Amino acid sequence: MSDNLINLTIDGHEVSVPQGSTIMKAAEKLSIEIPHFCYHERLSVAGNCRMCLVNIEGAPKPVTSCSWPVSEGMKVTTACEETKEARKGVMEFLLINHPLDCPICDQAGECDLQDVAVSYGSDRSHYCESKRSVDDLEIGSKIKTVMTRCIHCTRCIRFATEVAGVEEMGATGRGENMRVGTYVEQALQSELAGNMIDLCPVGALTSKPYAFTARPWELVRTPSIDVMDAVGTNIRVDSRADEVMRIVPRENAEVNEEWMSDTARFSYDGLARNRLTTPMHKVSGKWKSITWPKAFEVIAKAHKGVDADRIAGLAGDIHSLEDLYAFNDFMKDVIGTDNVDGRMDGYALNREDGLGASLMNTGIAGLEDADAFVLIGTNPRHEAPLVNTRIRKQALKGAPVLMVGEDADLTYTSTHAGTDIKTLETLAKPTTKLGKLLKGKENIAVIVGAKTVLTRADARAQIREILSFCEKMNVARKDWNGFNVLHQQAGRAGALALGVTPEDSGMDATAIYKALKGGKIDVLWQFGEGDTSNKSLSGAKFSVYMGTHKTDTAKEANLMLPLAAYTEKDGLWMNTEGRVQEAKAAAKPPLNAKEDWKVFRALSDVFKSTLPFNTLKALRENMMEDWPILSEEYWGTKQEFDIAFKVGKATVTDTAYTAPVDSFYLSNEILRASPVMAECAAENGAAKFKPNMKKVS
Amino acid sequence: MASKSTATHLIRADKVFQNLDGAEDWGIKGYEKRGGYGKELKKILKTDPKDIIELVKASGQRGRGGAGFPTGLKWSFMPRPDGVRPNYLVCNADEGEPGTCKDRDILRFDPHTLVEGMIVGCHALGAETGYIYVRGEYYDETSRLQQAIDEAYEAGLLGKNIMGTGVNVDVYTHLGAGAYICGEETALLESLEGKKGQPRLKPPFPAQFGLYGCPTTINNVETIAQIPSILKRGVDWWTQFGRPNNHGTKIFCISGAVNKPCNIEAPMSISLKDLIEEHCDGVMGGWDNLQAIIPGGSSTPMLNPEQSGEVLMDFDALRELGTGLGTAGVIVMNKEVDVLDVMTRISGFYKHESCGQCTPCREGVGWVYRLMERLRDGNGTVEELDQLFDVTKRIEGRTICAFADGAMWPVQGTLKHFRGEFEKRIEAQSKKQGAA
Amino acid sequence: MAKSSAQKIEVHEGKDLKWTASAKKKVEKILAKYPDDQSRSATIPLLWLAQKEFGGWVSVDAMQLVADTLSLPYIRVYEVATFYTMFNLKPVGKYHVQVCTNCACMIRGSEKIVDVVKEATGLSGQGTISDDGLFTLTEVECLGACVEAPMMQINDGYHVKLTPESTVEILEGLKAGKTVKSTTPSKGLEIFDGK
Repeated sequence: MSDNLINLTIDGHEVSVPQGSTIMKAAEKLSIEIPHFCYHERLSVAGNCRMCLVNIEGAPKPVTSCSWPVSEGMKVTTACEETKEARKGVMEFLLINHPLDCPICDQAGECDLQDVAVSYGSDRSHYCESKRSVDDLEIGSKIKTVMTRCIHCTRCIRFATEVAGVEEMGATGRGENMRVGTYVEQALQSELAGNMIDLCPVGALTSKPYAFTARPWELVRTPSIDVMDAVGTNIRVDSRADEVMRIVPRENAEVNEEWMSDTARFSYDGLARNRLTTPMHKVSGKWKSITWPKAFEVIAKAHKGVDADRIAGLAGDIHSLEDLYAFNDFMKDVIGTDNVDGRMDGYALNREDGLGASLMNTGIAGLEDADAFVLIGTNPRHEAPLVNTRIRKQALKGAPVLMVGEDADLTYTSTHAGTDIKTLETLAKPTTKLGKLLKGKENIAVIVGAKTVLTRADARAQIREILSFCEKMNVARKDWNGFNVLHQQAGRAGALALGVTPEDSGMDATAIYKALKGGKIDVLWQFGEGDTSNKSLSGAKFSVYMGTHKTDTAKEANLMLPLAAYTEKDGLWMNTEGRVQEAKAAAKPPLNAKEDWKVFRALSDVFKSTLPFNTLKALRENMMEDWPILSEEYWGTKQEFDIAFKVGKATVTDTAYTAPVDSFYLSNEILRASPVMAECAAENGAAKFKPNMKKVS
Repeated sequence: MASKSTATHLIRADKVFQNLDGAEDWGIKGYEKRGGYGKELKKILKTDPKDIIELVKASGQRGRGGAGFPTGLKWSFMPRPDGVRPNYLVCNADEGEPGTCKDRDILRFDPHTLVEGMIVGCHALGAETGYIYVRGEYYDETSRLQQAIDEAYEAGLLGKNIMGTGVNVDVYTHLGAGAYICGEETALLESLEGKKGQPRLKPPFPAQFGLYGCPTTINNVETIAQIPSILKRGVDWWTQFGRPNNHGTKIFCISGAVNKPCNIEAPMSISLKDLIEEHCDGVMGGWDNLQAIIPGGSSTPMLNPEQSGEVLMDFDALRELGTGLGTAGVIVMNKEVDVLDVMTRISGFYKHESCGQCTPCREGVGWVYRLMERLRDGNGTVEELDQLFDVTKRIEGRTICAFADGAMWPVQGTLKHFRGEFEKRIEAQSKKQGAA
Repeated sequence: MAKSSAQKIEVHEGKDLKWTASAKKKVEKILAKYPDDQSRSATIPLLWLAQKEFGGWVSVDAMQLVADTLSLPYIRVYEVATFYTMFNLKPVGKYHVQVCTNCACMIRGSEKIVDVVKEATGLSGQGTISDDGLFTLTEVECLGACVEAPMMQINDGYHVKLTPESTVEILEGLKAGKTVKSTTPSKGLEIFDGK
């Protein structure tokens, strides 16, 4: 777009905006509010609600400010009698067939229609014919519909079509019989469907799990970070009396724009189910609730006379930076073992390889600068839906997307290039059919699935080959580092950044599993649930499980210690691009559950080697001193990291990459504890019609 | 037979559509006999497109589809083909305005006039492809048109290098499926692209961003079909008919309560009374039995007998009376006709045909229809007549396209001319209820 | 009137519809009319073809076939099929009798024609199929033959300048299996077969 500025006046105020801007944008700059329903900044312009009509001097009739481009010298009036009249008229039309059932509508209190009606609605309608009533739709466990309330703004349709890329919403029929709905009534197939709830300006689409549970004005709103994937979606946790009532997105243009995935939105019922709420001790095969001091005694006893080399600690997938820091220090400094690993799935790289080797170097928003994509062993649609929406934007503009690994419907046109590492050789040759697709592309983004590619036995050889491919394609430049690793786990980047890995000759996760099997571990600390890739955690004489849920692996332990979930503590999280973001506690941990770092601090006393922090603030200060990249000045920003990967001689195997995700809706302990997620998983499997996406070529 | 056209009658040689009554061969041979195609077409195809557009501009021809926009001016908005995006000419044969049936007769009785017009139009606009979008109900008529197109291909009048002039034109028919709104040019483009016929937001206009996002001009059947004749017979021939700014010949469709309803090609600016008396054997029951006339298709507000007796049938004269020439679909209502019933029916038509996109139209047109239905039967109050008018005013001019305007004007016209009738019925009904 | 009159789609029968060999050729001819990357333009023509091929109406199965043929999401075809009134979303009789009742026809007595059609076919209202399976009646908007009012369309053909007598004659003729000539008779297939 050109930088030419256009000068115009709105209600007598002068304003300059770039050429191509709409009147709405110009008005926004002047903080002049223009009411609207169908317009949404991140969707295409529909111009159908007719609420944003304004007058232009000399124009024969009012125009929609959401669509009308500004021109030099234009004189716009938004507040004259004529536009007020027009808006009142539109408002009345919107209300004649609207049920006005606000007292039983979940949208009430945060409803655009209600809000605008305050300014432009009349206290009575002239309408005395019958009102229209519309049948509701049954579209799954996520969204409740009351279609009589629909004002046909088509935001949901545009979202499904343009952003989610699962074209399942549409408007059928015409005129006053136009209906917003789906092709056949079945559960929505999109993993971003919940965003339609936020987009719906009225109460036609509301959250099903949240239905009739709270009113918006009763809720305490706490900014937080989602942990269902490694995107670091900015969320707002709405709670009432320490109970999480719902979770909605916060806007962050660089991370999640204003969307969130359905796992992030609907899994909060998993926070209230199957929780570990008090320390429990297994005595002769039976679980017994005990007090914290008693639990500490049990631990102290179990460690008596045990050689530190025969103690191991594993950190799971969902931990904040503070928790991991406390765990790492506790294991290494207090217990004195180097058998520590925060990569339970066997992820092969560590801090020494440079964080650039393990993170998304382009950044999430930076993917929109890419002109081609090579996806290696990853399905971003299921591993990180909001990374996928970024790729989709570029794919729609014509950027080729080449998939190496398991083929999948990514909601845009992609080319299945091959199934293993050898495919890259073909891609690097511009003469091949596949290579041609990348010819002349300057900003190729290579996205490597951490789970699929970098947990393999030959992971280090894989990364060597992939980095050399990047080199060959000239995408490891100063101005464009197109090498990206996509993680699934919210805590993984943090564990790598904090070095929650063996430092000298300690055992890593794979070695620990082997040692457990061989009876070489006496005490195992399992800090949170992690993906062990089906490796057994039994074999130690004594094992402690610290976590939020009574999971199956927890039950294998001898002692269970209850911890706070992500909504129940302040914490810093590092996402897959290395961005540190802060979450605030929205609720208290249940019953006797404690914040993680406090437990380690208390335990350090038991072992007579007190950790040097008494408050979270002190912990953070220590942590930031140790790891300056986590300093407060960098919070919220995307930093640049180096790749320090040393080329080894390990041989690469060309076995095909496996699918990175078993079940999108059930990929961690919170999701598995959530009845809503269980329903979603079941519905997804039962769906009769796939929405028939663009053909995968 | 007269040797010279008059203000009311055209001699055969001055007609563009010489087989409008279907008496002769509709095929290519018949058309060539009537002066179609031939060397003169070749000459036109060798003329610089710019000069053609200038000639069309000079003729002052105004679009025959309803809005009366000058064709030459519309054509001059088209950029020359840039080699990246092709230009398109799209013919609007989605004739659906109640009271209008001229295009149907062109399609079935004189289809080659349109084919020739498409060839010339494509050449003038730098388009190599033309689509003719015909309403779905004209299934048989489209078959006829397709046969004419096939004939033209066989004769080398369509396809590559037409008549050795280097001009390439392909013309395709595209059948709609029952939606009045597709007569709106951008809705038509949407429909042609395989979508619902919902009008697009403008700007951008089709000349910049039309079919498949390419520069596109959309013209009515009659407009396009007249072009070859204008070019062949000359601008002076064309401008001898009708008043300034309203020149040319025009097909009028006269239906309703006349003795001989017909489609007739006559000079523009013919008086409405002459049109009915001379060409339709007069109003049923005589001129004095006239109650009202809709002059230009259902969207145009009606005229009372007094206005009808004086008005000339052209764009400007009708506009001065607060109505319009529209499609020149003249619907005559004599005193036996229940005007309120007819207008309610028209209101119902618009409710049925609203695309549903814009709030005022989607919600308002149905409201207006229900009010009309009630008030027609006298079930209501006199205040509700004012309210009805208010509602129409709140719809008019507030939507993406002009459909809602066209839906409201006839209602406003009815209120203007027949408010008394409404009041009479309301009074009678309340008396009846009082008695009961 | 309060309840919506939205077109509710017929239950999905799960039939795996396929184009016949001859229909396939027509599909190709239709697709050839549009630029290669604009095959979506063929949505309406293919729905037409489906309606002609599969018994005079468009079932969900037929929509799905069209969507699959054009690689379109189903909802996009469903939207189109429900927007345009000429696609019958449920089965109709062998002869779909569509009587225009808009203004020009109304003035010239279309109401009477509707009555006569009902009487002759035994139909009590619109949208249903007569007992003999032959007729479905629909009152439609202006069909664009106003100067020949009143008129009706039976399947593809127009029948104009109707009187109650001529209307009965046409319908009785159809009942007797006779061919009744419309105003501009065509084979009706030129549209799909043309160059």
